[in-house]
Amino acid sequence: MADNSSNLPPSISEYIDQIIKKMRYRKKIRREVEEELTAHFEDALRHTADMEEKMKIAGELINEFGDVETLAKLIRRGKKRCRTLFQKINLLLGQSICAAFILCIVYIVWFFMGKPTPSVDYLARLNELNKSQISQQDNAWPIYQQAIDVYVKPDDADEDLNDEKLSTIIDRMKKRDTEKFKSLTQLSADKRQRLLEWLKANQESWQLYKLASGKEYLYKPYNCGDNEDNMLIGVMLTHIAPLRDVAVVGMWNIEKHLMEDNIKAAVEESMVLIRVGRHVFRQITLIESLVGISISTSGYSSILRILERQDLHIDTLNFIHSQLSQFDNSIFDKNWIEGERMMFIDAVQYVFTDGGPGGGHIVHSMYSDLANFSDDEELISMATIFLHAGRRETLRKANEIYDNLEQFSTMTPYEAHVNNIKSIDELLSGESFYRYNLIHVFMPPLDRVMHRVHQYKATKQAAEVIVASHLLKKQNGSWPQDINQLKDRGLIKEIPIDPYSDKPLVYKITDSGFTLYSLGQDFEDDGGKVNDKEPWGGRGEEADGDRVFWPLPEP
Amino acid sequence: MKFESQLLKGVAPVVVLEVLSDGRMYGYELSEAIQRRSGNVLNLGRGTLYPLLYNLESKGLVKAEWEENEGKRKRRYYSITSKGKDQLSKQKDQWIQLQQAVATIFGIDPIGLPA
Repeated sequence: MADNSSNLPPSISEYIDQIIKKMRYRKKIRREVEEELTAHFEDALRHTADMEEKMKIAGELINEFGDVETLAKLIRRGKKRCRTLFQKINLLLGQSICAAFILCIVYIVWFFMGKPTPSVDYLARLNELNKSQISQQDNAWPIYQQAIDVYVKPDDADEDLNDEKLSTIIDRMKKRDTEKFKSLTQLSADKRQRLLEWLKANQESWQLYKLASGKEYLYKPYNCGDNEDNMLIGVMLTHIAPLRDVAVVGMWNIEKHLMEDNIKAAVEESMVLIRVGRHVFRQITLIESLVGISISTSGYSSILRILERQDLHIDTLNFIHSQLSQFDNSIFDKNWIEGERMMFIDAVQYVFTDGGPGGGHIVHSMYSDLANFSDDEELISMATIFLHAGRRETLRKANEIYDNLEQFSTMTPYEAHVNNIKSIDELLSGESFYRYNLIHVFMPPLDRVMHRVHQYKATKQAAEVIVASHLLKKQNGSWPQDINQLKDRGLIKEIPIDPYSDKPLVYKITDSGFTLYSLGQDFEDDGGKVNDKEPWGGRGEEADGDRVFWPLPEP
Repeated sequence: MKFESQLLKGVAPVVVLEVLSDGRMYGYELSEAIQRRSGNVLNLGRGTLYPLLYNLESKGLVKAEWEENEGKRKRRYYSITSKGKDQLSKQKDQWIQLQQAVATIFGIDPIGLPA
């Protein structure tokens, strides 16, 4: 309120008040302006004693000063310009901090309010991709399902086995190459008896399994079980473990046949495993492919163990040879990456919002569940969520990696090695863990899986060469000098190529027969030296050595 | 005489600086001095005066100080700075040149007599 101790007419006091009010500035400055204006009006009216005259002059003065709003604005502008540099910097800093704080709050609110809006049913697409054109009659799955349904689990309640449970003994078959494995002949009588009883109880399951293996293909539609959404990551693969369990029945059946000297039965059971493995390998998910490789490879291993026995009759060799010849290489011609890429894109639509800066941001609640952050990792999860790339960038980066892998999948490991194609680990090592956390966490090691696929193919072809060599030996009395001889005789369809050299597998005549090997993951010819730790050679210190197919390495 | 506001706008700053070059003054005093020295021709709107003074102050052409006189209200005195003096000198030269040029165009003597 203007100081009226000067006895200014009320109109002037009010006028000054309005100017000061509309100035909207710091209190100190407003007080100064008020004082200055009051002084001006006082000076102007000093020589006028008469109140009526004063009022008249006051009116004129007010007119001269002009519109309140405009004057207030001009005065404010002028005073703002009078700020010192220090004041200006301070003000700017304060405004910047406030603005940043507000933006932060808005960002956080916006961030936590978003919801994903999945719009594409990738589960349906995956099932479509996996479906064969062959009729349902040739689908093995319904029979596999029956085999699983009648499978009898080992009864671990029995205390008579003392030192280990029946299931443990049975499961050792899955790791046959470890020193703890004991064949049926090496087990104690009571354990052997229990095992045989279990095998007998599972004969129905096994027979159904065998029947299913003869079908053209396996198609089981993927589903997400009781999950509310159809997120591909939640796809139920509950059939995988039971299929493996029944496969183990087959593996023990082979042991039993070998113990009973029933070679033909052992060969037939081995072929069942190879066929089942091929069925499962053909599926679109990596896990199924890997399990398929495992089951199939156990079948080939069993064949080679049968061959290890001396004096197989030529009819037996012919039988084995004819059985193996039915398996072509067409199963290896599949697009490995498509299904995995689809899974990743599906995960993105469930954890990112759709739209907004960057195409969408990651949603905390969805991502925390998916990445399975523990309570201790809350800070990490928050940091990840705020630092993560937007939807568009995440997809771009993922597709870049998948495109790289597609290129990788068309090459042998050797080709990738000489062309310096980067592995997943190498591709990801240069990328920020937080910015691309979804990729780091969810992208499977596809390049390592590709190695397994090539190894599987090499194992298959190696088994064919070994069987053919034994057959030729039986026919001719001597081992073939080289693999070409087998091809020339029509005993193999093609020369097997070592994926780790892009040359034929190494075949050498030895004193005891022959050796057949691949250079293994170190790409070095170690002269057939067996790698004790990893059959195919690992990485770093475990890389040394070759993958020797024949003679069979000691367990 | 009431002049076009745009005309006054251009001349107001140099006029204020010129008047202040005679000595420091407070707002009312300054407006009276301008009126008087212009022969009652220039009547700088009171509403223009203070914003103008604050602008000149922000540019460092004038400086202001509060002064208390015994028994009287505190007043804010404005005085020209050395920077203001330089500016005044430049603008005065420009005004003189402008005045001559306009006079030539109008066909009159710069002091107001016909050519």
